[in-house]
Parts: sequence; C-alpha cells; structure tokens
Amino acid sequence: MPNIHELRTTDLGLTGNDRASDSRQQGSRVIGNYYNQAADDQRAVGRDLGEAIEVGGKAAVDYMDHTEISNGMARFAELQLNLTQQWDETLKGADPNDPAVAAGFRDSVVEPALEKFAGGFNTRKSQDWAMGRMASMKDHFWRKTAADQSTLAAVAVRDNIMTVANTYSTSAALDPASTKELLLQSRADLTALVESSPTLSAEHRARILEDQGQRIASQIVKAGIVSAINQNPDAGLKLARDPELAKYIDGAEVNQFHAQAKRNEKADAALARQLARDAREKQSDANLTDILQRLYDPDVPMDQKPTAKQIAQLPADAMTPGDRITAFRILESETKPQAMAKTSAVEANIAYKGILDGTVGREEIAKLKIENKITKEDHGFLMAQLRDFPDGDGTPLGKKRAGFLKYIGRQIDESNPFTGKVDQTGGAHMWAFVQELDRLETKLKAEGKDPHSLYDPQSPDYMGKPERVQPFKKTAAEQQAEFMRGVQNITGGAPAGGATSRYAVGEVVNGYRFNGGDWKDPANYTKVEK
Amino acid sequence: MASQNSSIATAGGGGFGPALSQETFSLLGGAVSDIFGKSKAAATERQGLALQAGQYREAAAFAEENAKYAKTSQQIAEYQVDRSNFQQLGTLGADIGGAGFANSGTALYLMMDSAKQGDLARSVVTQQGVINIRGYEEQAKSYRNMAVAADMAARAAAKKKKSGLIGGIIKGIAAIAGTAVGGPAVGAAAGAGAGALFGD
Repeated sequence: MPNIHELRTTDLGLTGNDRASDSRQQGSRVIGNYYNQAADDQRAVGRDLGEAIEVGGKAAVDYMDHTEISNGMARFAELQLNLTQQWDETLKGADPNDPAVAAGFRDSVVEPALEKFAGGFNTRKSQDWAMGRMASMKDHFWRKTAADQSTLAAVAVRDNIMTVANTYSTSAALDPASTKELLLQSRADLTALVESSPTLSAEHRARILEDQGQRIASQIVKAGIVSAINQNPDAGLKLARDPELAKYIDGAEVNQFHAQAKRNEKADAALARQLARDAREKQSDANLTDILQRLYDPDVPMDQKPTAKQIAQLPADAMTPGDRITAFRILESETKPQAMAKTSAVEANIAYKGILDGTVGREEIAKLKIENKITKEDHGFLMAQLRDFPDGDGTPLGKKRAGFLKYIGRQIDESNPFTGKVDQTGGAHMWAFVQELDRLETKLKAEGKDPHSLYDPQSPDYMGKPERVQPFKKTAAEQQAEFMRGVQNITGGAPAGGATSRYAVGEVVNGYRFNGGDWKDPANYTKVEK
Repeated sequence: MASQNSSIATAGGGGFGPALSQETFSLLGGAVSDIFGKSKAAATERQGLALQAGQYREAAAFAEENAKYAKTSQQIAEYQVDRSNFQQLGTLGADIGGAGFANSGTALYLMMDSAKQGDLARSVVTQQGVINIRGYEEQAKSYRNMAVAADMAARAAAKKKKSGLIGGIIKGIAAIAGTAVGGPAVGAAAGAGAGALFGD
C-alpha cells in the first residue's frame, strides 16, 4: 500500500506590521513641531516687519512733520504778506461804506489762499499746525478787514464831519447869534452821520461821537465867538460867557480874543486916521502939483495963474499946511530974480540923479525952487520927472532912461579928466543931455513912435552912439579953457573966453529960442510966445 | 481720521488731504504683522495640522489593515486547528484501512488538502512580505514628509533671521535719523526694507 505523505504546515499566520503606523504617528508629531516652529518664525517675521514699518514710518512722519512745518512757516509768512498787500490794494479803490468789501475779500481771496496753503500738509501734526495757523490767519484777517474798513469808514465820516463842522462854523462866523442853534444842529447831524454808517465798528462810533463831537462843538462855538468879538468885542465877550457855549471854549482864549479885538479896534482907528491923512496929503499933493503946473504952464494965461489968495482960500482938507506954505513960497519965489540957467542946470542935474536914486522928492525940488537955485523950467521939468519916477521906482520908460544914463551919462558928467566928478560944468552938460532925451521922447511920442528906441542899442534912434553923445561932451580945448578959467577965478585972473555954442542961433530949446553967444547963459534965450 | 479731516476742513476752509501720523504707521505695522505674520503662521499651523491629520489617518489605516491581518491570521489558525482535527480523523481512517477497508476517496482528499496547505503557506508568506514592504514604504513617506516640514521650517527660520536683520537696520537708521530730526534716508530705508521682505 502506498504511503501517502501529506503536507503539514504548522503555525501559519500573518503578523501585523506597526512600522507604518508608528512612522506615521512619529511623522505627525515631528511635522506638527516643524509647522509650529515655522508658524512661530512667520509670526516673528510679521512682527519684525510690522515693527520696522512702524519705526521707519514714525521717523518718516517726524521728518515730514519737520519739513512741512518748516516750509509751512515760510509759506505762511509769505501768504500773510501777500494777503495784506492785496487787502491794502483792495482798500485803495474800495468804498469805505460798503460792508461787502471786507466779506468779499475774505471769501474770494483769503479762503482760496488758505485752501491752497492747506494743500502742502500731509501729516497729522503738520495739518494740526497748519490748521491752527489758518484759523489764526482767518481770525486775523477777519478782524483786520473789519477794523480797516471801519477805520476807512471813520476817515470818511471824519471827512464828512469836517465838512459839516466847517459849514456850521462858517455859518456861526457869519451869524454869531445863531451859534447855539448851529451847535444843536451839528450834534444831530453828527449822530445821524455816524449811526448811518454800515461799516463803522462800535468802538469807532463811540470814539467819533466823543472826540469829533467835542471838536466840532468847539470849532463852531469858537468861530461864532471870535466873529462876535471881532464885530463887537464886548458883545462877543458876553456871548462867550453864555453857559451853553462857555464849556466849549477856553476862557483864557476868549480873553485873548477880546483883548486882541480891542487892540484891533484901536489899530483900525489908527489906520483909518492914517488913511485919511494919506488921502489928504495925496489930495494936497495933487492940488499943489496943479498949482505949479498952472504956474509954469506957458499955455495958461497970466490971469488964470494961481494966486496966493486962491491958495489961502483952499479948504483945510484940500491942502496940508506944509504944502500950502510951499505953494506960497514958490509963488513968492516967482517974484524974485530967477536963478541962472547955468547954475540951475547943475542943481537940476544933481536933483535929477536924486530922483533916479529915490533920495529926492517933491519937497526937495520945491525947496530948490523956493531958494531960487533952479529955474521954473527946470523945476517943472524935475516935477514931471518925479511923476515919472514915483518913489524912485519909475515907469518903464523912466526906468529905461535911468539905466541908460547910469552908464552913458558918465561919459558926459565926468568927462573932464582934470576935474573928474567935481566938475560942475559936467553936470550942466549932463542936464542938457537929459533935457535932450526928454525932448526926443516927447518928439517920438508925438510922431507915434516908440520912445524906448532911444535906449535900444539895436535901434537907429539909439542915443548912446558916440556921435550922439559927443556933442554933449566937452572938447579937450573946452576942458582946458574951463580948467584955466577955474584957475584964473581962483587966482583972480580974467576969464579965458566963452565956450562953443551947442545950439544954433534961433533954435528953440524947451520953449526958449537960443539967441547966440554962450549957450549956457540964460540971458541968451528968449521965451517963445505961442 | 475722518473726523480730524472734517474738522480741518471746517477750520481752514478745506484743502487738507488724508493725514499721515505715527499712529498710521503703528496701525500699518500691526496690519503687516497680522497679515504677513499671524495670518501666515495660522495658515502654516493649519497646513501642519492637516498634514498631521493625514499622518494619523494613514496610521489608522494601517492599524485597520493590521486588524484585518489579525483576522486573517485568526482564520488561518482556525483552519489549521480544523485541519489538525481532520488529521486525527485521517489517522483513524488509516487504521480502518489497515483493517482492510478500502477508502480511495480519502487519498484524494488528502491530496487536495496538501495542495491547499501549500497555497496557503505561500500566500501567507507573500502577504507577510507585502505587509512588511508597505510598512517600510510608509515609514519612508513619513520621513519624507518630516523632511519637507523641516525644510519649510528652515525657510521660515531664514526669513525670520532676515527680517530681524532688516528690522534692526531700519530701526537703527530711524533712530539716527530721528535724532537729527528726520532725513530722507528714513523713508527710503523703510521702503527698501519692506520691499525686500515683501519681494522675498
């Protein structure tokens, strides 16, 4: 029988393996630890980053704060200056009574400028700073614009007040009796003027009413009282003592005005007396002149010549005693022998120079005539020249002649090299030259020509030309002869002969015809009867 | 901040833009810390926990498999007890055959049984090998996961080091600049440092 061996296996079975699960568990723990560690590190990174940003950012903000505030200060100052200038410009052309000017400037200029200014600030601190500054500037400009406009309004009101004050004070001066009424009216006007201004601040209103009110009242009262005192010092003083008015004017000042008015009264009276005296003297002078003109005028008939009786009968206010005496003496001098024409010419020439210098007047000339030192012709001529040279000033033509004679005359008056200024005959020559000038002036006037041409070097009529001056100058022979004659007079010798005649025989000079001989001797002339 | 700006606008007539302040950068730093620190750390922690959960699930799976192996092993053991009992009965049959009784069916059965035993033994060996291999493979995977986690932690540590250095530099510059009342370097340093970190 076959032996069948069966397969025998013992302890068959599967053994579980924990390696995987253990590894997974271990891995889980390890991974957990690593991830936790990584998470911690990541938190640290975030923390570091956050801190860096915070610290760096804060530093940057500090820097920006500093920079923006520093720049802001400069910009702020510039802005304030610009706004102030703009406001000043705005004020120049603005109506001080328009309240919209200040508000308009704040809204249209200040606000936009501040808004633009704010644009330069990015940090809270700089914005806080800027905000404070802007608020300050807004406040400043609010106050400034309002105050400035109020000030302008006050100025305008003051101008108006000045007008009111001047008007009322003028009225008071014209009518002092209405001073109290004008005072009341001015107060009402001032109040209305101030209260109606829309831009005046309360402070300005109070100040204007207080200051200007007192000033206007003082001005009106002063004008009224001063005028009243000037019109009537005592009545004005009484008005000044009115209790309603006295408080507006200083008492000492009133007394001064009163005293001054009194002095003025006296001065006015003295002046009036002086004026009356001057008028009388002027009238007397005119009357005396008229008497002399009639006395010397050849055209006046002898029966119409003034007489001593007529002079004596003149009213007291028609002629001063001095002029009356002068007139008498002149009349009296006519009864005496006339002065020699030659000596008269010398005296007249000296007097004429005095007229030019302003040292000789009517009285001195009259004295010459009364003392018979000059002829009546020379007296009349000098009187006529005196009228041409009032107060030594002279008319234009007389002035021109005076200037001409000042230079040209020396060639004649001082033409004697031996005797110089003391040469008496030089004066006579000069006098003849002056009379010649007077004759030519009269002639040119009569011909309708300008007598100034005689003294114009460009004119053909110029009298300063050598050939025209020469005839009035003595020749060397004349000078020598006169010198010798003077010597012989001193030594008792006989005269050395006559001088060469200046005029042709028959020539009429100043109303007298030359008859030949010594042209300087009055006896050689005959009066031409018309 | 909004109320601040509105108050500025009222006082100054407007014109102020958003305001920078130290508080701004405190808040910004806190935000950066939260976003790039806490938030990222939380994500990392969440990722780590997820990985841990995966690991534990894997471990559980293998424990379950081990349970299955234990059950299979129990069945094999029961089978082998049954088979031992059958062998006792076989010995009794042989005795019967020795007594002259023919039992051809038993031989066949014995053959068949032997074949099953062989297959079983082989299967057991194979299965045991698979179990062992998977154990090592899972162990390797676990180690790789640990390595990945370690690398990640290393990178985080490197970033931490870098951030600490840059933060220190920025603070140093800020301190110096702050002494001199600011300076252009401050903002630039802060920006550059932050840029370097964000760009990493």
